Amino acid sequence: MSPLLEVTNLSVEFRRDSGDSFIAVDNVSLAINAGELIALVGESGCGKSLTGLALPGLLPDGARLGEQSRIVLDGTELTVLSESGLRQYRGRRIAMVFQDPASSLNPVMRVGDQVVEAIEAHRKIARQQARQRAVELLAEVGIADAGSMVDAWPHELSGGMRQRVMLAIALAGEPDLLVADEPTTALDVTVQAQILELIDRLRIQRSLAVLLITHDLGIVASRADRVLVMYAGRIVEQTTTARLFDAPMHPYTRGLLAAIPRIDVTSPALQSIAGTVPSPTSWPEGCRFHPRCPLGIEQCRRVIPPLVEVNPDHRAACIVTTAVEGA
Amino acid sequence: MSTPLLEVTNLVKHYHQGGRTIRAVDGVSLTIDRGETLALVGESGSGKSTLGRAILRLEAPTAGTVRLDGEDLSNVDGRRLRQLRRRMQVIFQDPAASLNPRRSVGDSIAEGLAIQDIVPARERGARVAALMREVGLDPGLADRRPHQFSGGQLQRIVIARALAVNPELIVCDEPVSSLDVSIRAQVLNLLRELRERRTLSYLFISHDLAVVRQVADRVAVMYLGTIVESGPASEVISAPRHPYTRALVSAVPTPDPARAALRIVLAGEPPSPAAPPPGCPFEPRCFHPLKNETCRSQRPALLPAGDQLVACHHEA
Amino acid sequence: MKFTARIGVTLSILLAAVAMVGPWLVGDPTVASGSDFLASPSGSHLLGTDPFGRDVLARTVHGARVSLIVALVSTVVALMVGVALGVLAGGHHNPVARALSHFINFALAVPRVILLLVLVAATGRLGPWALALMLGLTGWPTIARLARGEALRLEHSGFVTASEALGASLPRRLLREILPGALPAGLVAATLGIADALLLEAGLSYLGIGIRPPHPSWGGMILEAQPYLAQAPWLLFGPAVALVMATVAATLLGEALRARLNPVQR
Repeated sequence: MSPLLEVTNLSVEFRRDSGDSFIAVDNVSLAINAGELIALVGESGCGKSLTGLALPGLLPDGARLGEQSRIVLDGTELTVLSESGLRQYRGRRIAMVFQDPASSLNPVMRVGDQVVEAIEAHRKIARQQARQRAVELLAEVGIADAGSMVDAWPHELSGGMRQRVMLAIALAGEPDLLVADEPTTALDVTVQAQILELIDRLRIQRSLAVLLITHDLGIVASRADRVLVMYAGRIVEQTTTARLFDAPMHPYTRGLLAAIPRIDVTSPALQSIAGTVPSPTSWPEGCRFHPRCPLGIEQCRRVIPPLVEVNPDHRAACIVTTAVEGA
Repeated sequence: MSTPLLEVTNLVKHYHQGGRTIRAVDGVSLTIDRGETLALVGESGSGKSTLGRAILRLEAPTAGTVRLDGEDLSNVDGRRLRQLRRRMQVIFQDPAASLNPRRSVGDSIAEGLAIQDIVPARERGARVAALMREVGLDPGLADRRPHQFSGGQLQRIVIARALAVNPELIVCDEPVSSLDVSIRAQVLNLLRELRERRTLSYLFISHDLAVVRQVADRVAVMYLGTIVESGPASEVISAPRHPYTRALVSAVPTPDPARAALRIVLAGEPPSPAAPPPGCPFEPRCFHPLKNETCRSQRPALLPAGDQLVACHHEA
Repeated sequence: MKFTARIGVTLSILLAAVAMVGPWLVGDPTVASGSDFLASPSGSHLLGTDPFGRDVLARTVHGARVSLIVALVSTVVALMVGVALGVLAGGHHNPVARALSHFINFALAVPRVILLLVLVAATGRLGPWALALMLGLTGWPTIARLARGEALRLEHSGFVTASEALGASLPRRLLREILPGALPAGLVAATLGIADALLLEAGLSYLGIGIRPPHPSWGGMILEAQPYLAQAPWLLFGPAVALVMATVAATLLGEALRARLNPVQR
């Protein structure tokens, strides 16, 4: 069975007013099957959000896709579509949910009306039926008493409820792919757990393909089937969740896992990764992680390491670790 | 037994908003000894940040007392309060917002030196350089503006500024929450080092139990304006007694697929402090098997249970 | 810089240069030529002469100096008073601040033109400096309102709170953190107010109660041009075009300043 979404060589380039340009996403490839949850993990500035935005064609002004980029959804090549062609996909086959529900919801429109708006945008349907469907969707995302909540204002809802509404809006077009960009970062920990559980349930019930973009490896551990780790615009490691935590290959992944404060362990000194994350305008030559890497050698400075298959279904972009430990 | 450095007794902070009373902090007592780190943990609506601000006297409490080294802060005049501020400093969540964007970071760090008149003006430059080195920054960067630094560096600058007045207590309000994961460890390590070197006490406010585990000696868990459990950090986190603490601990995302499966998912929403339940504040979401009518009608007191204090009718 | 901003800045510099240096380059605006009354524009009188034989160009240029000085001085006065009062009114639980807030709201409601007319009528003949002062003292409320808005916002900002935590007293916080933070907004309002001041002064002079003859002023020149519009339309060109250019320049400059200061603030 071929993947629902297949992205090859995705690059995003920014052109600034001053005329010079820089690359923010560099040659990213990934594939998601229906019903699968893939996590795209990285810290701020790594390009993960832009990767997510590129899929439904929502790149900001000044950003464009690189020439080699290919995005194929269910057999159709999206990069060659016109704006009106893309609109058939946006919201309908690819839905997006963002980090801060407070700013994604229109504060002067009732919650139900916003869901109705989303429903009506994707098909011809009578207003009465759309409203009924909105109530159904709100119930599906776990909002108790959906019949009366449909008339609530966004400010009357808590953060968790608002995020549920966002999910209902996302589902209105009956999408095949859901891109969730840091959907739980702004929420309390106990609410995070609820929302993640909801996304998982929806995934199973609707055979949704989910691309979960996050910086939180803890979330990844509990829900993702596969993980892709991004650093400075490139994928540096990709494999199944179990393998990533069990036997990480890339020094950045290892550093990241070691740096996460653990609730079950007290460490006398927390491991940290020295240095800071480079911004897209000042990426180092060669391997972009090498200035901070404990295993760096001379060659790392000169060559951008390719993603090589270390083990079945486990790829890492590091010339040092893949040479030593590769199968 | 010497006087605790900080002693908070029955602190209450209510806000009045359009007819409603928001009971942000509803009777909290705690102490911090010299060199100790107490973590205040809770989610939104718990009142932990409000409690921090009330302790620092950035807001006046509605009732209750705060004693800094025995001195009651509600009885001091403006001038004495400003002097006392030398001894308790604060680090906020968003370092960029804490620094004046128009000033060089060196000037910002020196601000406390100027206000509290710690060293004469000509020595301030040297002192700033020493502070920057102490937090791991190159003193040559003192003339730059905040926007030229990364989040982690900015937090170090804020820490340097707080250290400039040689405080004994630092209130850290979510100091690493807005930082990248790989940077959090750096800043936490720095805070731990400084604590050793300068014998500092921390009131560490956070929603992240994993971070708290790494820095705190004792933990107090807040829910809807009151403390529901407190005790030694390792105990509270590894063997929580209060149902809320249990849910909180299990909800923390761990980078360990095996652990991830054992998660308690709470029903319902975090509460609003505008309309707290009459009995136990956690009752509406509580899943304790022995939950009964007493829980609904009577507020549980914070009582000893082993090494901990718990506010639960069925656990104390 | 955006195109319009460039125009604004260039024009402003040009006009300032004309106002400062021009009067030495052109003739005396008060001297009557004795023979050339109402002459149409020619080589010796580039914009013609007025009914008294005075060179229109010379009068326009001299008028520029007066108008610009009045506009600038009044703006500086309005800026100082407006920002000071606005910042002091920015406190939240402070009774003084609250009283000042009410005062600013009241002042905002008073119609400026009518107030000016009343004041001028009450005080009689005014020289340019007194006029500038009066314009400034009636022009501060808008600036104060903006400054107060900024002060309110800044009071809760992280770095002002941090200052308080370090032990800074309220006066210190106002002076060192809030005032510099509120100043840019006030500055933008003030720069845009230059255009207002120019027009008000021209209007008052046109009504005969602003800058009085024989000192040239654009408003006054427009007034004098009125009866001769049919036969000597050039009398209007100088002052009208100059007034429009100056107003446009001041407005574009104000907009450019606002655009420049915004990204820094947010």
